[in-house]
Amino acid sequence: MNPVAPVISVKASGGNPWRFCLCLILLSFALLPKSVEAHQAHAGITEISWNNNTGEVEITHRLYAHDLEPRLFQTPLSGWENTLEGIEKVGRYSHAKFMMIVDGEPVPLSYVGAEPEGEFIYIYFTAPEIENGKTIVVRDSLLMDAFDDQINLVNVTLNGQTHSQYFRYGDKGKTFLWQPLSD
Amino acid sequence: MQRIIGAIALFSVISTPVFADPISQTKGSFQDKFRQLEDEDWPTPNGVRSATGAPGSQYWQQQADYKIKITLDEGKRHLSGSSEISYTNNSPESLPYLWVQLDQNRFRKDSLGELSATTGSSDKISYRAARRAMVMKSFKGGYDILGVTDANGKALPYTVVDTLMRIDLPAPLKAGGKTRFKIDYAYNIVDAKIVGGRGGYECFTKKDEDGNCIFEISQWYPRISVFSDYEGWHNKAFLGRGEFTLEFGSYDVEITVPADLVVASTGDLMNPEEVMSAEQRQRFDKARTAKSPVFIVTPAEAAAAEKKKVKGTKTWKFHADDVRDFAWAASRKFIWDSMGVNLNLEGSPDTIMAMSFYPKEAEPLWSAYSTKAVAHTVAVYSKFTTPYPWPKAISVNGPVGGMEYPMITFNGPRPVKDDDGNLTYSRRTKYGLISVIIHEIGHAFFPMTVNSDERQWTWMDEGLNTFTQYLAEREWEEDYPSRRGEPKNITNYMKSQFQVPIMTNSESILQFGNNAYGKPATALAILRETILGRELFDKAFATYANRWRFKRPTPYDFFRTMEEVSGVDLDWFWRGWFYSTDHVDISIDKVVKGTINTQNPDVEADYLIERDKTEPASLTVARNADIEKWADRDPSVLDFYNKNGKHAVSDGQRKKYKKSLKDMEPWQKDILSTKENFYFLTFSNKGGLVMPILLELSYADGTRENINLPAEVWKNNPKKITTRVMSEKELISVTVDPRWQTADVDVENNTYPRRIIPSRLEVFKGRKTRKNLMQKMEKAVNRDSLVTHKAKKSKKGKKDE
Ligand SMILES: [Zn+2]
Repeated sequence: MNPVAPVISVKASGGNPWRFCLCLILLSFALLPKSVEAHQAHAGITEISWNNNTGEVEITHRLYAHDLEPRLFQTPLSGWENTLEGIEKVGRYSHAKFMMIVDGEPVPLSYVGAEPEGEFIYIYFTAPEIENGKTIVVRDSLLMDAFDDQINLVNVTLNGQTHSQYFRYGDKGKTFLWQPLSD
Repeated sequence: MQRIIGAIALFSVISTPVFADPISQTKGSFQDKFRQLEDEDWPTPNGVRSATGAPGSQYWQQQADYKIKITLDEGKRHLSGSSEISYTNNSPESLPYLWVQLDQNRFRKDSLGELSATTGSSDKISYRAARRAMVMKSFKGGYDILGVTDANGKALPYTVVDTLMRIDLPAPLKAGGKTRFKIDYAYNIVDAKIVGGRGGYECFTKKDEDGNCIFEISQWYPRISVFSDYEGWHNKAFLGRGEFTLEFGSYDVEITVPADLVVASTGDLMNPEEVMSAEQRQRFDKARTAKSPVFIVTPAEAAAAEKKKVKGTKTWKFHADDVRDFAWAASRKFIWDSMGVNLNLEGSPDTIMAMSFYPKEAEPLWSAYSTKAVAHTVAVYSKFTTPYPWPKAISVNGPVGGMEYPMITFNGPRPVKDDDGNLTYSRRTKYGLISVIIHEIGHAFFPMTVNSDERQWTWMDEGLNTFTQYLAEREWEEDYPSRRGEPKNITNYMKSQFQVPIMTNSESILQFGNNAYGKPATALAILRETILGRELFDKAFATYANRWRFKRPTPYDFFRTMEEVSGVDLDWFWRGWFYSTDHVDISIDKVVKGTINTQNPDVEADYLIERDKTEPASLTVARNADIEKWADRDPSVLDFYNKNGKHAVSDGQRKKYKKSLKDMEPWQKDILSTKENFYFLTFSNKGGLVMPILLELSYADGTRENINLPAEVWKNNPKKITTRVMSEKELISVTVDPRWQTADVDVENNTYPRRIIPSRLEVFKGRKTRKNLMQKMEKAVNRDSLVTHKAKKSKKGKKDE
């Protein structure tokens, strides 16, 4: 079930030899049922915010259950929310696919838990306070190992102001300004 | 001089938009969120489309009737046949040529769809994309056009332009005229699991599978392009996302397949005695009046058919009226069940046969839920929109995840096999299947009956359908886990940047699901529950569906009908939800209490004395307490005013009051003696979208009151307003939108005085401790969350133990 990334080197014929790395992400796609509505794009939403009351940064991912469950659980598809093993698996996966970087260092994310609600799964992380005025780099590849048309929206909401970025397959990190104390 | 030139250049840049819009605010920043869309974006009504939103007296649309013969080569996965199209020109124009849609050409290597596909990444390819690319390299997709001839068999000149073909007529087809032509064609069917698309084959050729295939056949015959009053020929190429726009007509279709294949199709089966056994026909009659689904082809018969192939072919003949498209599916793997639905509605057949076709791999889920979900959808949608017009409604399980056609839908969800070979499905797979069937059968109404233009306006079928799906799910069972349609679930999309308005062409939409499905469905749910109320909304919505039954509406016809029938001006609502990317965020900023000045000097003095007591004493006065003052040394400076306090009332004042009372009208006296408090509530609109303000007022005596202010409160100032509430009671707190009905994205600012609203994460944390306790107590997996069946023993009616 682990994605492997064989590296293929390609050499162009003639001219200056150049090389690039073609990264092939192996999906266990045979196990994936198609999305419920085939003509709908695969989409996720992540909310990052500063909780004044608890003094923590909160990260909440919302993914479609019918996209995430087959990616993580062959059998049983669900019921994972009732087992520690299932909840941990969701956490490990999201931890590996989502990252926040400040000053070149990954922000330590603590996994709070996950729960299904309706057609969604909500996954919760917290992070310690980030210094006001820092730039945070976000990397988000949730479910992009399952669907190459996955589009994730990341909202950073501070003081009622939302800044957003879309992430698609192959995207690098994108930046947000962290200013919870302005105005 | 230089400065002046600079100023002119700047002026011309800034003033550009002014030319585009004759009415514009050029001073200040006032935005008229209530300005009418009529004349601004909505086209001027005419004889074809009237100002009421109904089809006009001169409404017209083209008609295309088809006679099709098609043969499936199962081994080669290849279709070949001919279509005869009778085309009636009801337009006032004369047509020198006709355009035909060749959607299979999308699968040509050089198609616009293939060539315009961009990759998200500059150096990565997914396994799926790599596999598709390799299959496409060796696959010969697209039509072979073997001939285009007129009614006399004479060749007609034609030109293929990507997914379209222009046929040049020997003489223009006059207004009111009719022409007939024939196209002979063939194509290779795509592997739907790898190439994708809305149809294709799926073969069960892995080890321990039976080797048979399911064919789901759609966009399979050349379809006449739409010629409409508002766009002429609709010749926008099929790129793969914007779906279809089609003409109504009747169909006679003969499908020739290997003799042991079972065919599910649009249309009435015309030759059951040739393709079904006597026993199957008897079962079908029984199903008409059955209370739950009856097998027409039993699981045992399907299992037997899988094992040996029969030689020879059979031709299944179907006839359909009033359909805009035609699709079918075929397999020897199919189990077939059915039950009749009686709606007793004018416009619906007496009995509608709800049916499902599925392989054993879809069991035990499908025999338990599919046909029942079809029957439910047909009934609920007929109530809210327009009566289901056709004699059958089918759900087929195959490779396609979810796709709709008249009378027939392709739906993907299936149980999976676990390590022991048992078929297992979760609670969410079950509800996933029911939801997708409701959604796809729901498309029988939007756009298969109310024939909106999918390529231009995805929301007109997906949004309206997702909204009605929400109504149908809510009527399937209490607490159905349906989430699209609930206002709170759209908020984090609505507040994000980089959105496009709903009124955007479908190829240009980011986050298609939220934009074309979720947001319009939520907007309509809010319109129904919060703005218009159920009675007004339901009448208007059904009127729209019935007016445009078998006709082609535009967004403006929808907007106009909803306003005209409900009698409510909704331009502000369309502007906010469909034309803008604003979101809802209403904040209560301030509450000020006011009481009437009774003008009675004694009463007012008491009031002022009481008020003074609530203010903190002056710090200076307090710190000066020990200092001896002049008045301490010389009391003669203290007089009447000192004795009675600064609010002392003189006899003169009392006399004046009594005199003025005498001159007053009774109503003036009533006002002065009222016990009412006047509360001034100030709100700001942080999201930009104007919406009604739903208020919950809590009083000191423990009672609550709900007051709804209409959206029009924002008419003079869409950013900040103050309103007044009158009550004899003491107001202690105010909450805006207490039931989360309006998709308000920030509920922190919805209370006065401010209350801390725990975040979703905090709420989860609070619950988590309890959950873990429960978990330790019962280690077993929740009964409702997982159902496991032995693959072989599965039997109908025992599914959800
Ligand atoms: Zn749909």
